[in-house]
Amino acid sequence: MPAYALRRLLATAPILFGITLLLFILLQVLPGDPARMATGYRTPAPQALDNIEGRMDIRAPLYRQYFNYISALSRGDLGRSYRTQRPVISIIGETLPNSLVLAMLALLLEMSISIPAGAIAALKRGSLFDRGSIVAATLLGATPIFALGLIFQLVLGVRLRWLPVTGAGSPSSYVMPATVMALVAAAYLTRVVRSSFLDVLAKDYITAARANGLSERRILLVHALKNALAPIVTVAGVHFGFLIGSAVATEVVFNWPGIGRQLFAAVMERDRPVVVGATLVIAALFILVNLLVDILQAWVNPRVRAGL
Amino acid sequence: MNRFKSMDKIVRGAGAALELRSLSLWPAEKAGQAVACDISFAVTPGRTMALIGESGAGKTSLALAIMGLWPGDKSGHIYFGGQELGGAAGPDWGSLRGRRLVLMMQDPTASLNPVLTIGYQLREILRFRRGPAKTVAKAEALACLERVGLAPAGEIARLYLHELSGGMAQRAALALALACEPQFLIADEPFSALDPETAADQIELLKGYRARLGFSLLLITHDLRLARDLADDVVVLRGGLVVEAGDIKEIFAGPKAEYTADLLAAAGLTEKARV
Amino acid sequence: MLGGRGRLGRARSRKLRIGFIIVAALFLLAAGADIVSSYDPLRQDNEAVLQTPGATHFLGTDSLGRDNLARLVHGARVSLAVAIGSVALMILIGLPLGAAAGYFGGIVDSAIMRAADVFLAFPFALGAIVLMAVIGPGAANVLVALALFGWPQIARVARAQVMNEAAKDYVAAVKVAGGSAWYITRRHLLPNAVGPVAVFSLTGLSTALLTEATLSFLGIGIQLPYPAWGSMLAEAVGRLAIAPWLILGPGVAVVLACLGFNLLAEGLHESLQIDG
Repeated sequence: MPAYALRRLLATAPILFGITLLLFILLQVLPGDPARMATGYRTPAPQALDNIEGRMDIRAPLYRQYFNYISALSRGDLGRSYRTQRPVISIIGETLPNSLVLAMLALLLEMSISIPAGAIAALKRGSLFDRGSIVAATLLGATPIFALGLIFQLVLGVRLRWLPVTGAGSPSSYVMPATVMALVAAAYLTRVVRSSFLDVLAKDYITAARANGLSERRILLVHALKNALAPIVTVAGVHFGFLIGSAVATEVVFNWPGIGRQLFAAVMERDRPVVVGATLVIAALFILVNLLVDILQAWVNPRVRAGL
Repeated sequence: MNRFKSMDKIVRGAGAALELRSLSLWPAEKAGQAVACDISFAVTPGRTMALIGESGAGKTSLALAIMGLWPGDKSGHIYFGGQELGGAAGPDWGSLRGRRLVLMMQDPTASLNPVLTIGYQLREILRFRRGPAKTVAKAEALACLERVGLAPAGEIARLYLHELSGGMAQRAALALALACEPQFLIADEPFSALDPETAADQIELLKGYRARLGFSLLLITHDLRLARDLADDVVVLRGGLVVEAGDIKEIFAGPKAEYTADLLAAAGLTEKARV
Repeated sequence: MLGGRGRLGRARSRKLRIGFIIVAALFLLAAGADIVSSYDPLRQDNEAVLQTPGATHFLGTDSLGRDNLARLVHGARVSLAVAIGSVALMILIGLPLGAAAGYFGGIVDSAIMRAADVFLAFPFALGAIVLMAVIGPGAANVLVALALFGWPQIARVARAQVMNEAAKDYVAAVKVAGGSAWYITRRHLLPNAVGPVAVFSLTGLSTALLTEATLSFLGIGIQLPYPAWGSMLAEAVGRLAIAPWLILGPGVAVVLACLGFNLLAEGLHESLQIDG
């Protein structure tokens, strides 16, 4: 197991480099005028140079700039925001945890909906529950997150006044955004769970387990689940990425103080360092999550450990 | 209703280990052709009955029905030890399955769970059926593995299905089937996926177990030589219908049905030419 | 191939049929936008602001007096065109690259897959948003942005199919008999890859549509005053309290379109599975 994990880790290193390269190019290409943003004047002021480009030394040849960029990155230096002059890394440090908490909450919620629903739908194939859940899943999957979020806001927040509409003040403010994200993601995951369980329950080793007199509960929880888990884990991992990716829209709708809203604001304001820094962090996080999913796959399915 | 004279020797009724009476099975998906039609036979305690026929004759379906795992419709009766299975008064399958009545399925590479270790699956059965403590189950599981010739047992118990060879998997399946010393074993095409040498070994193993534990055996096979080697009685199945039944030596020596004769000829077992 | 007999067979082709009907209907509506509504979607009418659905304006008007039905069907053109265009571009880039990676293996495979991995490192919507920040808003840019982050997945599917097929014995036989790489690919490998790629693309269509809607909602997609379902939806939900009918058109349209694409994808997937 550890050998497998190490191999996968090494495989991701080049991808990380590729991303930094891409973002370095982005840094050159994004519209944005540091001087004007920092000082309000067209002429560059001394403070304007105290950002990542300043450290990159714009007059140097490109490869040198890239080197400076990478070394700055490795020191955790992502530059300073044009607008507020605060270090990007601090801005991210403040906002990222909020997004992560929301994403994890949504993922947990999603899984606690999808796995039971999918398993039951598979067990009671063709029943009303099964058909109903498929219809619900199809409809939810066709709805854009922001629309669902806005509707929730209006109905639950404004009309019924059950839950706070925006911000991250109280625990109850987590409910709506997390639920909206969970519902849309669960739409797809439930189908995957159902299909995976249907596959597994038809297998001979399940019949054999029944022939051996094991209880249905044990068969479902021990024999079937572990086998059905593989595709579920993959999709759940992909969903974490999806949740982070859709963070922008959701956080804008709910005015959630997360990295998505921060990124969007920076895009609007042409705050280059923040845009690049936030994107880099999110991408790195995404890769990390995918890596974890791969490793989890190997743990769940012993056959994968031998294969790769 | 006794249609087969040679079956008179077979004990029926309360004395039979297993008896089927007019059992018919229909598939689950769509109505229509019955998979098995009006099947009746009985297995005497301690004896081995071979259920032979071509693929698709309904043999595995009967095995599933006997275990109570047939998904479709059925009519007729199944008696185990004189009591009707699934009937209102009789024992239900839950108490029998895996303990007194065991099914060893056709392909061990499909009937063993691929994500659980062999040892775990063995211990699980031992614990559920016999209720011993964790440490006792572990020791017993190792003993089971050694008895079927899987050694070193400690290492093998930690292996997964994909790490076993075909022969090893078959032995493991045998160990699982006999772990709780059942009264009645149904073996569906045992050893059919093995090469002749490995199969011969395992047949001897099975014979040894049978002698030691004294269980009744329902052997489902299309291999007539195996049937002749292992079984005392035989039921010939074709297209879901019983063609012929009785003592195996008598029937193989002088088959009354032409189909049986054809099967014997195809297997090269015809001992005398039919006129 | 399609259809099949028995209960299951009919259910399979039913998905395909319903999906096809929905999508075809939407296309017809979009194509015949001018016939459906004689109003100019861009024309503002200060006299008729936020009207409820009625005889003159079938779906009412928006906050600037523009006819909603006209905006809806013209918006269909834009949204559907962008969705389809981006997926077409994804296939144009992804299919050949994926096939090449699968067929040649080795360095070609590694290089292409590494490039794909870099793009895959970004969550789809996020990548599109950041790219739009660079190249600016507009329908054409949305199309490119979506395609740029979508091609790796198509490439992966194509690669897997090609690798599967290329490993089969008959391909080796053709090679020995002197078949060129191009011939083998065109005649044997590509036809087998097309199926799964098509299924994946159809699902991609609904993702593209939803992402475009999100981009328009955020204001960096298709710019006002040009109608697009995303921005119409945004405006509609924003005014839900005072003008609830606004959400009907774009809401139903988006959901229906995604439903249609998804059903098509599933129906196709199931039909192909029988062929196995």
